[in-house]
Amino acid sequence: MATMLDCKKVQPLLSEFVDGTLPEETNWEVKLHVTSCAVCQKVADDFTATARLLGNLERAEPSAGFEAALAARLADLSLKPHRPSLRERFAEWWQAQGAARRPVLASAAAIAALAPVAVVAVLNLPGRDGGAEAMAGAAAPPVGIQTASWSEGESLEELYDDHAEFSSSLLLGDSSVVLTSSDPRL
Amino acid sequence: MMMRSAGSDREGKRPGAAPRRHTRIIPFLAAAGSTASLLSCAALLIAAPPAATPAAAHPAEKQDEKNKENQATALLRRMVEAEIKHAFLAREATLTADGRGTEQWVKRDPRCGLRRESIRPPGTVWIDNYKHAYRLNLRDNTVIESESMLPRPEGQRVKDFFRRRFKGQLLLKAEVVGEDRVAGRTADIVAITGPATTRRFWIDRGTGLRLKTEEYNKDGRLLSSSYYASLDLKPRFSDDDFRPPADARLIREARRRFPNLPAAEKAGVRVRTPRWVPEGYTLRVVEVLRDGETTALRYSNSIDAFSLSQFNPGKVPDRLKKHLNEDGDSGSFLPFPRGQRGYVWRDGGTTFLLISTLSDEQVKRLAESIK
Repeated sequence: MATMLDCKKVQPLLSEFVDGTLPEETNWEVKLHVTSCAVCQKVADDFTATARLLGNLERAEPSAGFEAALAARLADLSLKPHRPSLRERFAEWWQAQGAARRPVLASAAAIAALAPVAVVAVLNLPGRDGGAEAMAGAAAPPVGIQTASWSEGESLEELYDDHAEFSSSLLLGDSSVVLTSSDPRL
Repeated sequence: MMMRSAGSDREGKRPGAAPRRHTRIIPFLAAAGSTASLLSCAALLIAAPPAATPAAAHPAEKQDEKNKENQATALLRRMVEAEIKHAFLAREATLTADGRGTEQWVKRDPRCGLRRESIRPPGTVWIDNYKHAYRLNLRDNTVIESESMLPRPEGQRVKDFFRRRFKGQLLLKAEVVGEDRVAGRTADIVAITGPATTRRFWIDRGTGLRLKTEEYNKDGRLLSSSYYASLDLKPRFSDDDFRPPADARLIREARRRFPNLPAAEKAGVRVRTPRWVPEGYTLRVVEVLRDGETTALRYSNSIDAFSLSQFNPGKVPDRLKKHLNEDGDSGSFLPFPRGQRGYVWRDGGTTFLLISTLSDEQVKRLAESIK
């Protein structure tokens, strides 16, 4: 049985594993996983094959005059006046504010940012729903309600999660699925 | 040679002349021949073997099968009852065929509910305390509250399950297939086979708790495996184990559940339903999600389940839209974890998504039957 290392954790390490540059303990864990996981074994084999192919390629040499042209460009850049970015200008302005003014400015900015969120939260509180099965009451009002529409970021995994939760509730269901179905990015 | 019956005067007997010899023999031969034929037929009939009788059933074999089934059923019943009888703390490892794996703490208290806390990857807790279900994200301390999926009268569920089985409505076959040791305890292995999946349970001999579960598809491919690495039957729980943290940011799921279609319709829910479902499946719950923009019908045959979601126009998730072709006349399949498949199609302005382990024919037939 494959080790408990998730394939999604192992696969980013496979390139270093093939190069032999992982720390010893990590290398061992990855090796243990790869020997029992066909998917990761295949990926590791592909990396090995790629590394072998690259090793067989001829070394490319730069064109004549490349170094001279590069030096000229670097010199050109260093002589041109530097135009500060927006971030650099903001940082400079912020430093110019006094120590007493900065907390006041920060608080005002936070309030301005949170005001629309508070308005949306108040507007989305649940209303009366006559005739429908009442949701279980709670003493304190909820902080937020899931919005009616599927947002851009929501994925098919949420639709599957609903199905998986139902499956897990069956008499012979496996409730471990309620966590294995979760998006690991959560 | 024409046979003439006795007394025929065709030859024109001369008056007074004695009858010719062959005229006496021929009728005799005819009679003898007929008698011989009749006797032969009778002999054949007597000698013919009796009509083949059906091969008699071997009562001993049938009884043996019945005993095995009864034993498996008894073990399964004990397993289901154990989960509402025993408190325990277990460390469970789960691995699925698509590479997802977790380790979880499982805390079960028959009075208080169930808690699953993810160890690897960390950060998620799921609680069901019979009143509500909570999914807690420890990273940002938010908790999504929904209705409980652990109804209390589980004794009745067990009875219903086995009553349906007695009436032969289930299409499930159960058998004991071996024994093993899990978490240092001896377990009997029971396999239960449905139309699309086979599930194996390792049932502890001491308590009846399920110590390990494996799920296979109909081709014998292992879809998932969960087992207890450790089991504590004398756990100490606090009340906080079965409720979310007081300081967590609560988000209430906009979901309503109805046990059947009449209850949903009475509440004003309008949903299109299939006129055909595969044998053995029954509608278990109607869910209205996202304030009515999505409705899901969830069916089960006690071991397998399928969910039919329908989305109102303009309310289809973007990641689902790309699986629909431009005219929407034909559906398409998409993969889901643990051997499940999705089938998405559009009909009359409504978009449907079916998540199931059903065969292609069953999916298409169900889709075409929707009114």
